[in-house]
Parts: sequence; C-alpha cells; structure tokens
Amino acid sequence: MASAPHISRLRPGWARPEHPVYRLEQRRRVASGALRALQHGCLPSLLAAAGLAAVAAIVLAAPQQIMWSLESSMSGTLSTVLVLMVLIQLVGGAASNILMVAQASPLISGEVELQSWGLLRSTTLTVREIVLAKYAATLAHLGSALIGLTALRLASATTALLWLAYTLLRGTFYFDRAGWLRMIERRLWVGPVIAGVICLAWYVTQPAVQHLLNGALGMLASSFAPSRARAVAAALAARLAGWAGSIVVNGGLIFGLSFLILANWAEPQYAPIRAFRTLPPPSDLEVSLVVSGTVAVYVLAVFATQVGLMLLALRLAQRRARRLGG
Amino acid sequence: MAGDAAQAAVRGGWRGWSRRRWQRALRLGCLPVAVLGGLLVTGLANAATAAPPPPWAYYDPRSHLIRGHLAVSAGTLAVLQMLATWLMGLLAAVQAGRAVPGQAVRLGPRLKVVRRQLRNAVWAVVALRLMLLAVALLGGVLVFTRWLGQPVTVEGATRIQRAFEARPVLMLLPAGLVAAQLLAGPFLRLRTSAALGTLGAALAGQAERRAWAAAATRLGAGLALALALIWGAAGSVLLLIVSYDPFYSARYAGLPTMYPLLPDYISRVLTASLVVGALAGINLLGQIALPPLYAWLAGRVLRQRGRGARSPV
Repeated sequence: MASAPHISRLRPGWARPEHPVYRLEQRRRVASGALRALQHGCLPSLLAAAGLAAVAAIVLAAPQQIMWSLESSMSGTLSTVLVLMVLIQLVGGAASNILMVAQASPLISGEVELQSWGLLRSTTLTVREIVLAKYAATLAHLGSALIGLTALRLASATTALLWLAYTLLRGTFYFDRAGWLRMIERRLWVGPVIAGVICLAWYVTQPAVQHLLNGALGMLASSFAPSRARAVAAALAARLAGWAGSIVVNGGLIFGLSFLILANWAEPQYAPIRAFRTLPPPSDLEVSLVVSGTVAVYVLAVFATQVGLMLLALRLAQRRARRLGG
Repeated sequence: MAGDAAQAAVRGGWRGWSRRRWQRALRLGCLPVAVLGGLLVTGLANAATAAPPPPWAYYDPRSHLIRGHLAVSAGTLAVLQMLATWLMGLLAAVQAGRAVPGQAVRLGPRLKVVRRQLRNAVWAVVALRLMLLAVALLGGVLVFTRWLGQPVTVEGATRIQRAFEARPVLMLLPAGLVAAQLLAGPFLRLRTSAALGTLGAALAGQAERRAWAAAATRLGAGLALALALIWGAAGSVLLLIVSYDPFYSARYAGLPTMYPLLPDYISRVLTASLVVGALAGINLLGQIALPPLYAWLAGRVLRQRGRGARSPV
C-alpha cells in the first residue's frame, strides 16, 4: 500500500520492521501456519459473526409489527442488533485478550528457557529496546483482531445512540413536553452530553487499551517466570484475577456512588443516611451536573488506571529483564 | 509409474484423491447436493414439525396444516439459500483474491476464470431460490385461487388482494423486481464478490495476506450494507415520526398516507410493497454498477504498486 511507509515512519524505532528484534519475532510467527491463520483470520471471523448477526436481526426482528408500528419495529431491530453485537464483542474481546496474554507471555521466558537471552543481551541493543520490540511485534501480530473489535465497537456505539434517541424521543419525553422544554431552557442536557461523549470515547478505545494492557501483563509474567509454561499459566491467572477484581471493585464503587449520590444527596428528604436529611434538596441543574461529572470523572479514572497499570507492568518487566541471566 | 499411481488411487478410493481432484468434485457436485440437500432438509423440517391441528383450529384444520407446512418449507429454504449465497460470495472473494497478481496485469481474464470456476455454485444457489419461489407460488395458488380446493385462510391475504385490485401495477412491479433479484441475484453477487475480493487482495499487498484480505473485504462490505440498511431505515423513520408527531396529542391523526383516497390498510400494503420494490431495485442497480468500479480501483492500486516497484528510488 502506498501509505504504509508513511505510517511506518510514525512508529518508534523499536516498532519498525527494520529493527532486528522486531523482525526476528515477526519471522518466528510467519513460520507457523497456525499463527499465520490466527494473525489474518481474526478480522474475517469477527466480521462474519457480526454480518450474520445483523442479517438475522433484519430478518427476524424488523418484520415484527412493521405494518402497524414503525417505531416499535425499528426500536426492536436496533436493540436486537445492539445485544448481538455486544455479545460478539464480549466473546471476541475475551478471546483476543486471552490470545494476547498467551502470545506475549513466552517472549522473554522462552529466551531464558532456551538460554538465548544472554546472547540477545550481548548485542548493542538496550534491554528497553529488546523488551519493547518484542512487545510491539506481538501487538502487531494480533492487529487484525484489534481492527475488528474497534469496528464492532464503533458500529454498536452508533446503534446504541440511535436506540437511545428512540427511547428518549418516543418514550421518556413523548408524554412529557414540559420536561423536554425544561431540559432545553435550563441547559440540563449539557452535563449528560459531555459525560456521554467521554463514555463513548472510553467505550470505543477499550479494545486498544485492553490490547496494550494484556500485552504488558504477558510481558510482566514473561520476565518473572523461569519457563514458557509457567509464564503462560501465571499471565492467564493474572488476567483472570484482573477480570474478577475489576468486576468486584467497579461493582462496589458504582453501587456505593449511586447510593450516596442518587439515593441520599439527590433526595435528602428520603435519604437512608440521616446526615443527608439536614441538607437542602439540590436543584435539577445541580443533580444533572453532579451525576454527569461523577460519571465522567469515574470513566476518566478507570482509563487512567488502565494506562497506569500498563506502563507500570512494562517498566517492571524491563527492570526484571535487566537482572535476568541465561 | 503412471499406472502405479492410478492403481494406488483406485485402491485408496477417495482417500487417495488429490486436493485438486477434491476441488473439482466439489465444484461439480454442489448443484445436485444443493437440490437433494434442499429437498431433504425441507422434508425433514416438515416431518419434525408435523403435528395434528390443535383444538382451537377446529373450524378449519386443513388451512392450519397447509399454513404450517408452507411456513416451515419457506423458512427452511430461505435460510438455506441465504447461507448458500453467503458462502458462495465468500468463496468467490477468496478465489478472486488468490488470483490477484503482485503487479499490474489485466484483471478481467482472471475474474472471468474465477466466475467460470464457481458457475455450478451459482446454479446451486439459483436452484435453492427456485425452490423457494415454487413454495411461494404454491402458497399464492392455495390462498388466492380455488384450483387446489377451498382457498386457505391466511391473515392479511384479503388486504393484499384488495391492494392488488386497487393498484395492480404497484403490486406487480415490486413483485417483479423481487423475483428478478431472487433469480439474477446469485450471478450479480458472484460478480460483486469477485470484484470486492480483487480490491481487498490488491490493497493487502503481500501474497500470503491476499486471500484473508479478500475475505475480510467481502465480509466487511456485507456488514456495512446490513448496518447501512438498519441505520438508514431507523434514522429515516425517527425523523419522519418526530417531525409529524413530536409529542403526544389527542388530535394526532397519524402519518400522512401516500394514497389518501384508499382505505388505510390498503395504503399501508401499497407503501410496504413500494418500499420493498425500491430496495430490491437499488440493490440490483448497485450490484450491476459497483463491480466494474471495484475492479478498476483494484487495477489502479496494482498499477501504482508496479510503478513503485520499477522506480529506481
């Protein structure tokens, strides 16, 4: 492709095909038929699943009530497509995460096990370059899965926005004209729109963030484990623990914040916590801004934590790799 | 030597077949497999769902049974032909992707070879679609005529009959377009898929990535089309209903009808018929007009790459 050299120039030196370690890792993968199929087959598989799901939604959901209630038919079709796409993303994303961890975890431990790490260290390349070049080659190897998952996220985000428009315009505000006018006049929409844009950006960038984070996790396990098998087992265990931990922590935080803000602060007269009952009730604008602000800050904090964990894992992997022999 | 190989092939049976021989057998066998498989699966589906009419259908058990069998047959054949069309398109794209050379040559002859290789697969899809059309025609005869006994009662049949009596051209024209799409669709899809595969493979560059890129392009185009249909329909309907009926009003009389002089239910049937016909027409036009564009784009990419390869820089 004509644009490929321009894109290649934007990458750091260790992530270019000219880099010896990057090229070595790429060649290792090209030699295996299974890895080649994995490299190129992720995108067609995701597109096939999503395409069949979209056609199934058109055939099964759209004809229902289309002659008598166009809005019910369209809203039903949108929600069916949304559910199917989210399910495909969950399955595809989990598979891609596991593959990423499994691909990254033998990178350093494999060299140590085969006693070639010392040989690699005897070159003029720095540890940072070696680790990052291996990391970049693994990220590039599963690039087609990343493209497919991001495309699905964009498609499901657009579908979700259309479905939300139906829900708001034909459900929430259809019977409440005064509520709609109040929302416009008092600018109650500003906070939710800003929070919505931040949530949408977070949702669409998640495949890329997870891709980078899982690769870094695999590298970390790879630098600490003495063999490939142990590295893969440790990285997968860490990944599973990370999923479980994030579900528990996020669930707890979301429940706690909702309880404090929505059940207590927003309606102090019915607050379960007594301390809130003495507070004056907030205005609609205050509720809108505080709830939207909390959602936006929470999502940004999650994003910062993910990026921070990724950088920390890479830094620790480099530090550990400096001390390795073999 | 040749005699030994032939003897080994005879002794080994189909297990001794080469990959090329398998491909040839599949190419030749797909038409009978589609016809026999279609009949077998439809027969099995009907046998599996056969049941005596329930007590609440006592007033017309014959209609109930015929309706059920027609629905099962049409549904089974619709799913089978859809899967066969999808698979045929994917195969065409992958084969066209494999046929793309590294540098600029005339793509037309190569695409012709790919289309010729998949000719039997296209006829297999057409056979399945003809079976579906036959079921639909049989349903029409059973519901709207007395040729095969008392007409079968179906909800909505009277509305369709009234709409046909009111505006026969507006019902026949879309039906003709849908029939044309049904029968000519596989041939057009083969052309479109092969051209899309060529474009994907040309963009991919490296030889080992071409078949995968061709498949991804075909599947991506299918997904984009399905999503464009869903989003376009949902967005247009939302704009229409919000502009005519933004908030609840007791005086709201409904969306303006295209045929104000006809009863509401006939108007709805005619509008639906027109929309279906328009979609079939647009799809046909797209499938006719786009393949040359894709092939031209693929040729342009390959020519540019050829110039780049020859450049001394």
